[in-house]
Amino acid sequence: MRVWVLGRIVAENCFTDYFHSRNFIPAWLVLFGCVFLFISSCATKEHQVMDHGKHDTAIDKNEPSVPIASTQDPLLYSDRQHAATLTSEDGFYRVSAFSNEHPLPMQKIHTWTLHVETSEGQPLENAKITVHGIMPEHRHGFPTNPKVTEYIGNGDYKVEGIKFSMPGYWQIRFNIKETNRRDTVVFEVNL
Amino acid sequence: MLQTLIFNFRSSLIICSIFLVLIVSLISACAAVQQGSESETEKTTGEQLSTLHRWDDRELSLMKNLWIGNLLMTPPDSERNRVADNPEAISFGHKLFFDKRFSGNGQVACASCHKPELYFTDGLQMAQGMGTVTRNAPTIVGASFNHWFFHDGRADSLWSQALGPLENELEHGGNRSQYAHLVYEDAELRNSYEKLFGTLPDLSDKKRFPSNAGPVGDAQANSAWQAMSEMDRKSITDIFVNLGKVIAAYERQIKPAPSRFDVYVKAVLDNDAGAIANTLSDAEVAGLRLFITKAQCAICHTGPMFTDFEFHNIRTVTMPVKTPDLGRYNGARQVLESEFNCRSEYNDAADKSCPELKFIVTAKHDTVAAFKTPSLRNVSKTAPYMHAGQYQALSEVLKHYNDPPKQIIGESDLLFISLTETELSQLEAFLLCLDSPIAADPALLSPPS
Repeated sequence: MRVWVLGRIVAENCFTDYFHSRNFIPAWLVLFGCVFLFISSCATKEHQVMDHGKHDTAIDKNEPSVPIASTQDPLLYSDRQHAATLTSEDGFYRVSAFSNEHPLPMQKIHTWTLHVETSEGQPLENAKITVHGIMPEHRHGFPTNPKVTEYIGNGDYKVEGIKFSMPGYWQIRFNIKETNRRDTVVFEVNL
Repeated sequence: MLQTLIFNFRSSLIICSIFLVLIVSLISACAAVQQGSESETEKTTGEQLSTLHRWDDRELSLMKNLWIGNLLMTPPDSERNRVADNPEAISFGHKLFFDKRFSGNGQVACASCHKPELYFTDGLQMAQGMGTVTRNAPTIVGASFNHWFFHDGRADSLWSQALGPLENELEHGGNRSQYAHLVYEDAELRNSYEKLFGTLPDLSDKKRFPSNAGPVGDAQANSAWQAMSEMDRKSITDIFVNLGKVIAAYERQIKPAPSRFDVYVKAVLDNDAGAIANTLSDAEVAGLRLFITKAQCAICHTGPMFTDFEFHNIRTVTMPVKTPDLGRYNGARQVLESEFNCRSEYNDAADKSCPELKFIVTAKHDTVAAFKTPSLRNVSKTAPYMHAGQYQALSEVLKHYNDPPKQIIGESDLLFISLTETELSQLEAFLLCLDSPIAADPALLSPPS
């Protein structure tokens, strides 16, 4: 009933002249045509993809359809170019980390590179760095004992022995130690 | 205005009625089409099924991770065994696998505890070779995808694993010199061996090469071994290693085929409504959901073989015993000391960096009474369960997780779960969906003719 009244008000305001003339039929046709089109477009509108996921991991990691937005996106660890830089917890270092294999492999030992600079932008040389992994939701770490095995130069450190046993949310913690100070940085990745 | 409307009322009424009919039929047509239309993750054939088959991004990621489509076509680490994929080695290994002469009493072959008709297990709580072994015989099917072998991971290659039982006095109970002489003196075995590895050294001098000698439990064989020269011991060990490598070549061919679970995952990934609705029962789908969420199984039973191939203490050492099975704690030490590990001269790979050994976890809190996660593919066929066959039925295994026994030793990796009786039976129903045939040349599934 309301639709009818609304239609009549619209008709009165927009098509008054037509309704008073012999052209009232085309006016009604136009009105109902609009209603018809409106309803048909609603009915066939593509169903919205509901965002159930708490995490924004793309299933197909080789061809992301969205730009890297999340700090946990595995693409951030795919190479030096993509690597995000984090500031360590007390602000002493600027650190980026990336894997030698992309996409990040599952159930396979692989190597990462850690790049460390001081807050002044100088490469940090010959620091003592340890690495630990954890899946906080499951209370377990890496199934291996990864180590920083070599200082490559220019602030780059070779990190070997990393292995992700399963998909999900991982934290990779680097403890960086110089003679007079130390700091920690934690990378998060959602596999 | 009103008069104009009343004057044209009949015409208007007719036109409105026509349009109303059109609109109503369009709406119902669209509703029907929409129910069957392609949508991203919500394939349904009715309101009831839609919730059952609705998976969020995280669940889909876990399902895809478990899907057999991710399994490597060729098992890894072939470069460490130079005959790993050699057809003649596979054929020779097939023969050895079923040959009972490779034992102390002539009665034990690999197939004695790894029977093809029992999914390459033996159906016993603990394996029975020349004696009763302290552990349950795991399956060979898909074993080649591991990087640690035995329940405690004391071997780091499939070929070196095969050598363990051959010299274990409770299993084959033989020694490497015995096996070398057997190959040397049997025309068929010798021919198969030499085709792959070249001419055998001359073993006819029994003073240099005693019939029974090896670093084994038997005192006589052991002292005979110690009396041999370094060079002669190496000749015998080389032959022994090669036998392990051909057995491994055969075992690499024995893999699991896709299961109904894999068909379901493919259907979901392809948005195939019919297959989604008809592959698994409601209970099985509910069980799958539990597996990857509430029951927490997919934390360790992850990846296309439904195992992370790593070691966990899940409170399976339950009785306070005099000498508890320390599992990985001993296994890690043994593999690092093994004469056949990745760092040995017997590793055929050019790259001897051996990362698994280099970054091995040995800490007590991670390894004491920890055992390797077994694959769950075809789990219905591998009873009894756990490292010492403690549980006969899957329902008992699930009850163990749902209501774990007291921690006797080590630190548990178990997470607290609380499933209802219904959920337990759904989970069990799902595990049966992991049944599949064996993907192998059928000729390899029985003794060679």
